[in-house]
Amino acid sequence: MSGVLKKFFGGESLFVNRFTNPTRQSLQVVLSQSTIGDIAEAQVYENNLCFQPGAYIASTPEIKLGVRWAGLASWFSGEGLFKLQASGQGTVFFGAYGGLTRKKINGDFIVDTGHLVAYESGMKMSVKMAGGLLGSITSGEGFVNKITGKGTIYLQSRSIDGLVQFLSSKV
Amino acid sequence: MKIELLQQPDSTIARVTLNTGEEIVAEAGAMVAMSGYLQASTTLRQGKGGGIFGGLKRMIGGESLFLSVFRSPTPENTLFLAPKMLGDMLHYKMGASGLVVQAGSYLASTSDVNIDLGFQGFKSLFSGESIFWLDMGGHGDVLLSSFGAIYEVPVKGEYIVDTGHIVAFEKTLKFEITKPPGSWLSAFLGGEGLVCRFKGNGRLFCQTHNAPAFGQAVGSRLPPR
Repeated sequence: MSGVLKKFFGGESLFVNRFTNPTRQSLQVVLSQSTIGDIAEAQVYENNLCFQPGAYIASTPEIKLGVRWAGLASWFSGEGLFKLQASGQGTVFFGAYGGLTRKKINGDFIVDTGHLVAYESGMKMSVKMAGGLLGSITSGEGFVNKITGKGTIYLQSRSIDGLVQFLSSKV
Repeated sequence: MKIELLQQPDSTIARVTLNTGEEIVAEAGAMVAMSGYLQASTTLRQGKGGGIFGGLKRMIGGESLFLSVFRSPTPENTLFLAPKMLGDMLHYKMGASGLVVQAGSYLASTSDVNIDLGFQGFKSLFSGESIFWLDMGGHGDVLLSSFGAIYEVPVKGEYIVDTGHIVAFEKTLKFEITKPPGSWLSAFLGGEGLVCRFKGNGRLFCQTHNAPAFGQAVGSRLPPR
């Protein structure tokens, strides 16, 4: 049942593969993602890590994955209504379209829609317009995420929306 | 102001650190993330290359009508800027010579840099590329973006580049749009279209890929709207 939730609300596949090494020698597994871009690893212990739909790739077995309600603010800012949350202790791998930049936040920080890949839970998210109603339209930014609090976030340097925008003008 | 380019060369993003009172102008939509204390506003830009007319001219040049201005009221504020397409970025210091920028390659500049629309004449009308180029002057920092990687060519004498692969070049260079060397027939059959022939001394920046060509290659396979 939780797989179904993750599939439809967390943007992930219905089933996950579990790779176990039954031999005594070290074996390799190679993992990748569908988009062109960086893959990062993050350690999870006390801090839960939340992912935007589609960003999660793999995790060590002690990591628990759950689907959380992300809120209307998240949906307005072009992310999902639900988010995937990794808790427990271990390592998580996740990917992006373009480069991944890790950024520590203390205070207010603004991220354009479609560029936030992962963030530590405990920070407050709200959606706002980029610089007032007129400014929001004219700046081409539309809605932006406003993150308040202390923690780490991961940004992707490109967004799929940007590519889609470019290509749809060429059809 | 400190400008660092991260994630080079395939999906470059610029991290700009602004101190009190400093400001940077960027193409609309270029902001990826920023400190909540930065003041963002949009402008048609006053003065040279500014106003409604300047904005309209920029739009014809393939850029956005409006520009975003980011101003820092407090020290040490961070701003991340990136283009839409995968590729590299170039941090150019405006000096004595002006810079001619291919439409679409402009990303950001500091406030003492002038952006104007340069009409390069009918000679570029037949090149199949944009007729308009951005004509940049003044002094300060300029951030340019490319589709693919950027490579610099220090031109001394003559140099020929396909028109779709030019990012920018210094104004000390003269250029003409011409056919590739050889006969017209081989130029036509070779599929090169028209090329840009540069003359003089100066720096030329080229990109390894051509965004309109990529758009055509993918766009022609997408179902019509």
